[in-house]
Amino acid sequence: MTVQKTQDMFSLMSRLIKAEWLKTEHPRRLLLFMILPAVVTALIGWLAGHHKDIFLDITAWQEVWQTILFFWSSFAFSFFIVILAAKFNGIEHSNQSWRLMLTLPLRPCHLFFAKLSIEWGLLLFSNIMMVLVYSSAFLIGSHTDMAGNSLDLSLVNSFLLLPFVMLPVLFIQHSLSWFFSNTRFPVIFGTICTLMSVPVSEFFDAKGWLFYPWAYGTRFVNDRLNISIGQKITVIPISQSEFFIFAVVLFAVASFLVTAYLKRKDIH
Amino acid sequence: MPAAIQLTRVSKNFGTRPVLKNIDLTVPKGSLFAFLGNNGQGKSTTIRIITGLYRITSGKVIVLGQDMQSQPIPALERMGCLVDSPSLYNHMTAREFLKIGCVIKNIPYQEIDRVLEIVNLHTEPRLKIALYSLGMRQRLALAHALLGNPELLILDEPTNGLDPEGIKEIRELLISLPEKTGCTIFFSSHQLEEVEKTASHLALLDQGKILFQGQLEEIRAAGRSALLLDVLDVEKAFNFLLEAKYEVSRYGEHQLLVEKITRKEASALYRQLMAADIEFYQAVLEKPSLEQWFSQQMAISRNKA
Repeated sequence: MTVQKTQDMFSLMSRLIKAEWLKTEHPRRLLLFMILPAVVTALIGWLAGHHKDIFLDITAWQEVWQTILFFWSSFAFSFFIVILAAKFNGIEHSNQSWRLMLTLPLRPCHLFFAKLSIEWGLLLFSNIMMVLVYSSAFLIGSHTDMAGNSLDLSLVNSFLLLPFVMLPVLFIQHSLSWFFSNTRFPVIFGTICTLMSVPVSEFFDAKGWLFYPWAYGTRFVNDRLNISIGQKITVIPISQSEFFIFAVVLFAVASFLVTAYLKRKDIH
Repeated sequence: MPAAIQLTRVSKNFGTRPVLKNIDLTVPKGSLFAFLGNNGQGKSTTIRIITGLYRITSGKVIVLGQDMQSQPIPALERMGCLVDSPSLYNHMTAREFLKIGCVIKNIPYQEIDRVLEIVNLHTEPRLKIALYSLGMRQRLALAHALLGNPELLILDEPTNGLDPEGIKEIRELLISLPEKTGCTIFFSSHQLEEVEKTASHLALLDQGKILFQGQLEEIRAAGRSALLLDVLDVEKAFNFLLEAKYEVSRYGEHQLLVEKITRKEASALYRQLMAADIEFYQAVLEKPSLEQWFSQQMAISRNKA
């Protein structure tokens, strides 16, 4: 019985995710948008290597990648979350199609998590593209004369886990975009919070920034990055694995609460 | 006849404001059930409760044998709904839009041709929904509701925005569907003339209460003729008729409506009025149309209130 229910649930969720993709206006353009950071990063890396000959200078090479990864994990990734959450929920708000969707054989929480899943899937895709570009760059670099230039697997690992650590931010942005019919509010809110992520993570140098999920990307990837290039880190209150578990548990608790709330809420 | 929809003592409050007050409603399977009521009386709220969009404050809602508050999905799988004005995805074509319904309901895409044929929607394939007229949108929303051959159709104002030709087509479609597919149709409408031509059953909702539910035939067969009296002294006439045990209600400024009266009783009443020195200018005995019946019911309800 439970196995059957689980299968039914997976079947429903996969159909809902497919439906969300079918609903997307210009899906190919969206995919191109999602690989844009990786393309831009590859171009920057190529231009930097080609013009400055930094393959011979390990410090310059690392600086280029530190800047790119910092920008990606602290700003661009969060900003992509804001855009995707607003896009996938905005389609229902702008067409006033909530009732149309929710009189189909599904519950509000199914639609909530289907939208969240597709947003997360696209973020994961974009992040994997970035990881591939980063890894490729170092693999290419390792064939040059640049001594000591090797791929830091722990950094790649941190990089890969970024979409998991940023789940709380995705959850907040997704919920705001779901509940507010005017998507401008969550977009402005998310953009401001994203821009504040670095100052907040620097200002609360103890555990205070744990209450500010937009700082998670900065702390999770960049602290690892700084360790990788030998800089002294003063702001790590918990280990990376604890941090990862903390973010995922935070997301799970919030999901449980919103599911309970949606079960009781009228759909106006 | 088993019930497709069964509401038992259903109440719904928005905050402290009661919108539905202990309503009981039974929609028989295979019926074409019209749900009538003025705006703001709880019609849409009832429809949203039946479709699982609203939680109830108390009572029980059983649709196709399923409790809509605890297990709505099995019922929704066998239902098609058109709730409110058609909200569609404007950037899509009709087929792209219907594909979404097919994917979620887990039915093959071939179903799209069938439902488009039923609602008679033949458009240029690449035409976006944003460019559709209101009538076309209404048909497309109806086609969406018909996906998967549902056992129960819930339609909120299905003829809204349609031209006379479109209204006729939808009416014919609604009449033919229960016969063709055995489905039950529960629809709300303000167009009483259309309801009279279409429905087999109806319910009337006013101020959150069901005033009447039953077969349309009952209203016709009951011979509920009414005598509309245009009197000079409304107060005097009203009190007189009440004392004489007639079912009387005020109907306009100078008019009284005496209900459930036969021709013979009307004749006797004229004599009584003249004997009591109550002047009247006009007395019309009529078998009410649905519209008149609706107005009478509303007047009675307001008088009781």
